[in-house]
Amino acid sequence: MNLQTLVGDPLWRFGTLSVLSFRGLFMWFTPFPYVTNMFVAPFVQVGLFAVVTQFATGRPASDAVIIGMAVLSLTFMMNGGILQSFQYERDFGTFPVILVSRGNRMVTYWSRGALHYADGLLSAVVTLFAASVVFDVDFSRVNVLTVTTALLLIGAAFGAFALFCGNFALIYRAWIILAAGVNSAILALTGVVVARESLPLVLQWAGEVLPLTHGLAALQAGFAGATVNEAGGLLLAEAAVGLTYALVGSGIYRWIEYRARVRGEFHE
Amino acid sequence: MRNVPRALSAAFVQHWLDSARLDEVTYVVVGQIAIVGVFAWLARLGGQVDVISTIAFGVVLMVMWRSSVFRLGFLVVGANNQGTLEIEMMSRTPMFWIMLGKTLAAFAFYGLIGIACFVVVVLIGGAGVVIGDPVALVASLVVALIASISLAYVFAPLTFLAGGQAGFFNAIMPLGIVLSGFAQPIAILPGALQIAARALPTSWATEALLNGLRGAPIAELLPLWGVSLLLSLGVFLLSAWMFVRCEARVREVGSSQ
Repeated sequence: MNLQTLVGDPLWRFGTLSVLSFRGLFMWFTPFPYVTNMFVAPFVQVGLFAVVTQFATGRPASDAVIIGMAVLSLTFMMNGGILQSFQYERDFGTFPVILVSRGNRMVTYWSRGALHYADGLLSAVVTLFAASVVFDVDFSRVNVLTVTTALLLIGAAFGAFALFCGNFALIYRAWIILAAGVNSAILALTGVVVARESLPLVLQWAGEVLPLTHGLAALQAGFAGATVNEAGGLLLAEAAVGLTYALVGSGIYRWIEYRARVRGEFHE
Repeated sequence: MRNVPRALSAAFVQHWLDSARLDEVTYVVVGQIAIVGVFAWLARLGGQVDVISTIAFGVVLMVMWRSSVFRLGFLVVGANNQGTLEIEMMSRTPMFWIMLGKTLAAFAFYGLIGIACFVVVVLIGGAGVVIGDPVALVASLVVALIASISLAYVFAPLTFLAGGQAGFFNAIMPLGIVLSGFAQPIAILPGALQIAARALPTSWATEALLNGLRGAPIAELLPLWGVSLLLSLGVFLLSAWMFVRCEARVREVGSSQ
C-alpha cells in the first residue's frame, strides 16, 4: 500500500463526507436560517444579556461577559449543527449505508464535525468583533496569539464534546432536547455570565468537565494581555477536556456500530 | 359561529394532551432553566426587590412566549407535513379558531412551567417580591398575556407562508424578548430599538406591568393597557388575514412550497 492510498484516500473521504453531511444533514443550511443563526441570533443574544445585566445590576455588562456571550455563538452553532446531523443520519435512513461501507468509522465520525468547526469559529469571530465594537470592549491590551489559540482550542474541545453528545442524539433521536440541555449547561456552568465560585459545589465540578470553562478563562486572560505561557495551564486544561470527550465519544460510536451490527439496533 | 366555542375547546384539549408529554416538558424545562437562573442571579447581584419582582413576573411571560413561539410556529407546517391540515381545512370551522384553541392550550401548559420559573427567580433572587397594587398587577398580567398570545399566534401562519424552514426562530426569540421588555424595561434600549419595540403589543403591556408593580395609579396604566390591547387586536387581525392566505395557498398549490 503506497503513501497516497494510506493518507490520501482517508483524507479525500474525510473531505467528501464533511461536505456531504454538512449539506445533507444540516437543516439550518438554507439562506435565511443560516445567516440569522450564524450572525444575527448570537449578536441579539449578547444584546439581551447586556440589557438585562444593565437593568438587574445597575451597571453595564463587563467586557468578560460580552466576550463570553459572544463566544457562545460558537457553541450554539456547533451544538445545533452536529447534533442534528447525527439524528438525521438515522432519521433519513443513511446510517445503515455507513455501516455497510468499508470506510474508516473514525473518518466518518470526525467528518460530522469538520465544517461545523469552521462554521463555529466564523460565527464566534464575527460576533466577537461586532459585540466588541458595539459594547466597547477594551482591545488595548489584547494578546492576539493567546486569543487565537484559545478560540481554536475552544472550538476543537467543543467539537469533540458535541460529537460525543451526537452519539446520544443518534441513540435517542431527541437532538432538540439534547441541544437545549447542552446550551443551558454551557450558559449556566462555564462562567460565561454567572461567576463559577458562586455556584453550588456540585455545579462547579460539573463546569470543570465541560468544554469552554477553561478555554473561556484563557480567552478572557488573552483579552487582558496574558501571553500563551501565562494562560498555558488553562489552555492545557481545555485541551485535556476536549481530548477526553474525543476518546470517549469515538468509543461510544464504535459501540453503536457494534450494537447495530450484532443486535440490529438503530436501523429504523 | 355557533360551533366556534366547541371547536376552540376541542382544539384546546387536543393540543394540551399533545403537549403533556415527558419529552415536551423536559425540552421546555432544560431549555429555559438556565436563562431564567442567570437572569435571577443577575437580579440577586443588584439586590433591588423591585427589579427582582419585575424579572420574576417577566420570566413567566417570557417562558410562555418563547416556548409557544417555537411550538406554534410549526403548528401549521407540522399539520401540512403530516397530512392533517387537509382534514382541518375540510372542517367548516375556520383554521383561525382551531389554531387559536391550540395556542391557548400552549400558553396554559407552558404557563405552569412559567410559574415554576417565577418561584426559581424568587428563590435565587432571595429578597422576595414587592407588589404595589394587586389589582393593577392582575389587570396588567391579563393584558400582557393577551399581547403575548397575539404575538406568538402570528407565527403559526407566518412560518407556513415563509416555507417552514428549520432554525427559523433562533434569532426571532431573543429579539422578541428584548423588544417585548419581558426581562428589562424598554426605556433602557437604544432609541431605534425603542421605536421598534413600540410596534409590539407586549412592550406596552410589560411597561404597564412594571409600573403596576411599582404602585403606579390605575389612571396611569389605562393608556398603556389600551394601546397594548389595540395592537393585540391588530396582530390577531393580521393573523386572520394570513390564515386566509395559508388556506388559499394550500388550495392552489397543495403545500407550503
